[in-house]
Amino acid sequence: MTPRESGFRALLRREKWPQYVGGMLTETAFILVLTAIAFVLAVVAQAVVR
Amino acid sequence: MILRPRKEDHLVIGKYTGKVVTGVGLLMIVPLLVSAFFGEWDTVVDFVIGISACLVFGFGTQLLCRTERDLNWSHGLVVASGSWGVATILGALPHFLSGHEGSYLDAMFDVMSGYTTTGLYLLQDLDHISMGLNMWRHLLTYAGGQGIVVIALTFLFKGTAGAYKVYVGEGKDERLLPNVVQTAQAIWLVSLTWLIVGTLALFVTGWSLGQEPVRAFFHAMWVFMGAWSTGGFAPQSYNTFWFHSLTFETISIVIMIAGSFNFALHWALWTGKRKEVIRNVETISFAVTLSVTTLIATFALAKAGVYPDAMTLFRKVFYQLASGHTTTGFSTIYARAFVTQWGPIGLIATTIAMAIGASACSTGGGIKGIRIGVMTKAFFQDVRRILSPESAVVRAKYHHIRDVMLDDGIVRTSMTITIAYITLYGLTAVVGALYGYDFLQAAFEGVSAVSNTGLSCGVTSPAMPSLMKVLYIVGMWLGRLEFMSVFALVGYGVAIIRGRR
Repeated sequence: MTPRESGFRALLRREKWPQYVGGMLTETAFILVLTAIAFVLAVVAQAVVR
Repeated sequence: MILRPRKEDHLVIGKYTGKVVTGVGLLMIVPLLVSAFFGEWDTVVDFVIGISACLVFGFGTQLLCRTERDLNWSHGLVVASGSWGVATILGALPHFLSGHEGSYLDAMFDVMSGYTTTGLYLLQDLDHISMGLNMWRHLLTYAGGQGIVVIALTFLFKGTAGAYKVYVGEGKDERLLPNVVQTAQAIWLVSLTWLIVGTLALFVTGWSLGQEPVRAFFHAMWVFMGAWSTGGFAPQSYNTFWFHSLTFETISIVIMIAGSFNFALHWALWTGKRKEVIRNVETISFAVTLSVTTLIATFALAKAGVYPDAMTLFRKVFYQLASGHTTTGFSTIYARAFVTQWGPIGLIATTIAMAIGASACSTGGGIKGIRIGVMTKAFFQDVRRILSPESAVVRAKYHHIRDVMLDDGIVRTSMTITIAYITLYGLTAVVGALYGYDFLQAAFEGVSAVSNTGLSCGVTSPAMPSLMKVLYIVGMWLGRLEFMSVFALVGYGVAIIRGRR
């Protein structure tokens, strides 16, 4: 019988990291899309007002 | 009928408050070590005194309040709010002893601002404080963002079934994993991974901008802590404006928006549910309200001709709005520029963004995107009900990790908390106006404090009236803990005096 892995160690298992990195990249992509929308708004606002 | 608490109730509350305050004392070891590393011996003494006070209180209370009884729901709420109060009083010692605070009240204001991830401060001559005190300010906000109780859950509460009740009392009510201690560990995993990646990105940027490596590292770590915890503290009085860098701004925007996400959303994305980011009611609500407030401010400032080109307009507007909406409080404009350059429309757009705030169960404050989403859904459900035949059954649901049917209980809870926030926003605005501040500026600053944002248009200063400082301290505390646990603490006090045996 193998000893049970502690909770935090189980979260750190190597095979889980590709999932974690994918999650971080998804979050970053979502934020960058919002940033791009704000940039487009600024370009349009500047063009319309002028 | 209110029942007077029994001795056993006092013992269990005292025991767990003592545990949390012990945790705060142990946390002070980090800034103490930083001070020792930089040879700041006066600051070392300040932290030795602070640690001693916390440990004497923490262990003393645990010794006096020995009990085997576990927490019930009301105990959990009282411990959560009470321990934040005691931690503020004792955690203010290093601030006060530094000589950079005008009074002990100012020191407590800064510490409550740190714990609640607000970011307003009364500390004077920020650019010349010790590295140790800077470490403490940022660690406070990072720990506060995680939740002091989450820290205690991880290290001091192991095996306690009642721990979940304290966790809920701190405004975090999602279980990422079946066990509350595992949930706390998952929150740590997400935060520490982002800490490493974010600090590295900011360090490389700071270093390439010309900072010497050691300073670049500490500044990167502190700015990360300020951004991720949506705290808004920075090591310079010019805040993130000091860096004058598009790269630095972009990285800090990513960190502060990610920090404002619900930990349950992080966990869903990190465990493979990628579509959650475009389906979740909170991210949809955030994307809509951020875009609308940005649109309003962008057109108002473009019309006023405040900024010379689209790039500058984008950088200034989006940074302040993202900072306000995530309740971070980082700023790349001078505080008074909100009044002198942004004008009423810019101030109102930013105030609305701050009032709505971040996600539930995140490091952020404000009404929260999920409540805005739920109330919007309920509004359209009612409109559909009116337009439908009388016999029709109109149902609505929203998506948050899973599909949830919208029922009256959920809507009522959302509205209760929203009304509580709006009342407190209004109260701080009216008190500010009564003290002679312009109403719009008083509202901006009051909303900033209660929503735990930290953007300032210049009202918050050591010279502000003491009553406003006290009101902001209470507002930050209520806003961060979402009212109920502070009300439970007040109810506990009332029950001691007026309750029946």
